Amino acid sequence: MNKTAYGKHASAATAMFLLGDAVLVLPDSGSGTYALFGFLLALVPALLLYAGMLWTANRLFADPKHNKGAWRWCSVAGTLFAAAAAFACAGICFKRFVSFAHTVMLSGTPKIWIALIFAVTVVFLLFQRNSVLLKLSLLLFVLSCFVILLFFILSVKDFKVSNIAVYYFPDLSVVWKETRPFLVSVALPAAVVPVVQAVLFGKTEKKIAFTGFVSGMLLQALCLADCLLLFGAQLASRLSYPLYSAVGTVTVGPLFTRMDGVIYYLFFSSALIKTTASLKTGAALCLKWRTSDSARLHNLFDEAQQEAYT
Amino acid sequence: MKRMSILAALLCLFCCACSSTGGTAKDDRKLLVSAIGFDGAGEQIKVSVELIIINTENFESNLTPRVMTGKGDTIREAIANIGNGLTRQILLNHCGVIAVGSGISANRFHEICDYCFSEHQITMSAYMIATEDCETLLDGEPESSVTVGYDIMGIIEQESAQTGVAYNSRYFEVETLRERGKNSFALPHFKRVKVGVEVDGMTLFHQNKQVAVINTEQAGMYAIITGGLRKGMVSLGSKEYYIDSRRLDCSNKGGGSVTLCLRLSTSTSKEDCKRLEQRLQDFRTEVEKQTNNDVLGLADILNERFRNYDPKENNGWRGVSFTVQCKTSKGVHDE
Repeated sequence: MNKTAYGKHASAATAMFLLGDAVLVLPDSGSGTYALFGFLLALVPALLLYAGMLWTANRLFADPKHNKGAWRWCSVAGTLFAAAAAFACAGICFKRFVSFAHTVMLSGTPKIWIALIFAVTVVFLLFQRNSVLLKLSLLLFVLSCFVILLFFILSVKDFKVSNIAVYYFPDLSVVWKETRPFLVSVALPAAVVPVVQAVLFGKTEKKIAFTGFVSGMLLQALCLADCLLLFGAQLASRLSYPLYSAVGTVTVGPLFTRMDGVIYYLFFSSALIKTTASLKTGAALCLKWRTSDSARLHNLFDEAQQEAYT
Repeated sequence: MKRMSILAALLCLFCCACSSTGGTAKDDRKLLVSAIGFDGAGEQIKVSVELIIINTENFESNLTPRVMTGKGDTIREAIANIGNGLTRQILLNHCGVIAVGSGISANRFHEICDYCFSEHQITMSAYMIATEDCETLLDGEPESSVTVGYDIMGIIEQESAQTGVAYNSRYFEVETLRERGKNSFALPHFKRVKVGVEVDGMTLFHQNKQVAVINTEQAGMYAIITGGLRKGMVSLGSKEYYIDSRRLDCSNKGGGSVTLCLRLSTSTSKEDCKRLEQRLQDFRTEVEKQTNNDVLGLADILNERFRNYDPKENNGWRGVSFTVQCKTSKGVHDE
């Protein structure tokens, strides 16, 4: 396999990472009439952060030539920070999915067993080659696209444009209040993605990186729009799992009702990819930090790049 | 190592599967709720549930619904009192109808909505309806479905398709309006007839309180004014009107001068257009006079559209100038 063939896999992995656990909970509590506006506004810093981190991560983590002089110090600090961010992402995603599974999917099952099942799956994937993660990401991405588009189309008949209609531009304080939750849920994870790409898959081409970013944000926007058009921002933000509730309202004739079970797949797959990729990244960065031999360090990254693209 | 880890994972899955289905493995009968009703009972609340007993081992056994009631200071207490007389837990996952009796106060209605929100089993697409007495409505032979609750769901869908009036009364639709700060909404009103049940109009709510019951003809006019019908055929008495389009224009000239103009385009004659305009105007006057409330939600519309709209200015919603302009496909008809 060549680098170009794995390009779409990397894009798919990026998109699934961006969906992550945000797809379970958006819109956040406290969202108001201008939630969709706030999301679109948050995409701008998300894109800037993503582009900036892509440039930085490619140099710090994927290009051994930059591991000297001032870059070396940046690399040390960046490695520590990136590892902490990756582990934090993994932890938050893990916790959110386990809470969802405990509340909705397996409400009679103790939380410890649900956490164990998910953890075993993540650990199993953790010890596989990066190419396995890439191939799985592509497969899950295609199915996720299908699920999201299907439910969006099936929900169209119940959409009310009045639920998102705005008639005047809000004050700056309202704009900030509506944008802030999306900065945390959407823009910040976008800053972690380039680190994951650089550490696990090597230096990422801009086209692949941005294709993944756009796909992920588009899917996120569709999920958010689905919730807002059905419930309005005020009700959607009160719900613990808005997309799950939105899918629960979809009916196709008299036979197909309560299809919310299908959404379990989307939540499981996005949480699995995000948690696994974050943990892999954190672990790789910790290994880098523990390694004092620079030759061995370079070999680690050479291995990662070769393994991903051969 | 790989095989051991796979075996461990399978074992975990197996254990979890057992723990979550242990209860039902012993007994295959399930009590499903198809409709739930809430009536006022003095200081307490009376909850009526229409139950069907499903026997998974013997599907061919007759599915006879029965209605059980319970009273309590709170909804959960009332439902617990119903459960005291049963051998297993009732399942609300298939509840299709949430009925509200005429004796429910504004506070109780708020409590009902909160209960349905917090009760994850009740689907958000359950229909909310209003009736005189829920127990009377649900207690009786279903006409075409297994239960009265599922009959009601079918009637609502059929009426919406036939009359053109959108009975936007699913739980999430009602809750969306309430969460957005809308004071006025309507639920389809049902009554029990000789054979089965039928919808005989709408119950209008203002600030969670039931303020009026209107008939089916008035429900059509209500739908046109509030946007429940934007396009399609609507029957008003013996006359049918095909509405091609509907638009509501608002203007706030300041100093309390607010105008709402409902512009309709129909495929009827000029005379019928004029008649429609008059009927809509008369309906607005009549229903606001009867209820002394802004049941059509005019103040809500203005509040949403204008940043500086003050409902207290110029006698509030009463001072809003509301006009109807009906245009035929043959030309514009001026008032």
